[in-house]
Amino acid sequence: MLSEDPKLDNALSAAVTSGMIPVDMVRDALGTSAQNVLETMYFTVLEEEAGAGVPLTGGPNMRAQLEFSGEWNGSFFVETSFDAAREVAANFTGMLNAEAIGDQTAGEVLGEMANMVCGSILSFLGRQKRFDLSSPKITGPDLPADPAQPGLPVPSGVQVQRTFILAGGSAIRFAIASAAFLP
Amino acid sequence: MSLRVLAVDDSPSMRSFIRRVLELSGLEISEYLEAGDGLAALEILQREWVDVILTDINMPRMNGEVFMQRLAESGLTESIPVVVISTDGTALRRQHLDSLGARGYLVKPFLPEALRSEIERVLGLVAAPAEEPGDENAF
Repeated sequence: MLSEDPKLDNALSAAVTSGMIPVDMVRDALGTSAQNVLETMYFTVLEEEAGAGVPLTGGPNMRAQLEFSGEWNGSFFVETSFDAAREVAANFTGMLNAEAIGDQTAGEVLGEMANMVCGSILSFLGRQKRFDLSSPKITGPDLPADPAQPGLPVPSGVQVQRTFILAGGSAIRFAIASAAFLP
Repeated sequence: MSLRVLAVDDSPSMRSFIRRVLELSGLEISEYLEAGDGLAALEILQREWVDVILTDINMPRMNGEVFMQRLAESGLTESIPVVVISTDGTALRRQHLDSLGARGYLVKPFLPEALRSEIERVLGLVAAPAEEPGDENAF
């Protein structure tokens, strides 16, 4: 659970009852969940919260994407460079040599990261609700490295929240999108 | 006590992570068995005894909920405690898995200490609290 704050609990209850979630709550949950997952499950020391303009460096990029359904429907994305994906995969699995990690393992670990961060956000925002997550789809390593082109298809009316985290000198981009988020 | 553990998860990297966390937790593990889904886990349980099962929910072929139903039908949930490890921390999911016989529930992300505590709890290995020095009322 991300918070034990009764005021936040009350605000969340009201939001959930209305069927819509204020986007600032989503932003806070996204940032906290992403940091918590990286520190706890990936044994990663976070350097700082990066700005939106930080490029993904370290080779071609990888993306894990999954869909969520239930109280709210939407999509969740994690993107980083292939080199950074190998680093977090090495931390996750305990392999000492990140260079020995191939595309498949790096993608699988990135998918686990998407699963955990998205699950953590939805569990927090809708703790009395039920949701389902699809299996993560892994794309890359031919994604554009330009952060100004996040490459996320965003239909009209859908709100997207993003956060960028610097870990091990590399940026990891997280994004969650849903029509249930109030601007 | 040295434990035989069965980890059920469709992600090989997640199974590697659980193995690593078990090692970090300080629990003594004599055997770490792995299955990629509920069906493979049932096959292992036909020939192997384990002390505790750690299972994911979302898996191909046979998911964690059906796996637990099969375990309950065969009476195995009475003798082998099952700990569900999931990203889903919602009350409804937990209640449903409790009704299927889950003895423990761990929400990802979790610390190694949390996994150890949950395994010790479901196995009844938690030591009684130490007596306070100088507590003359203590037996």
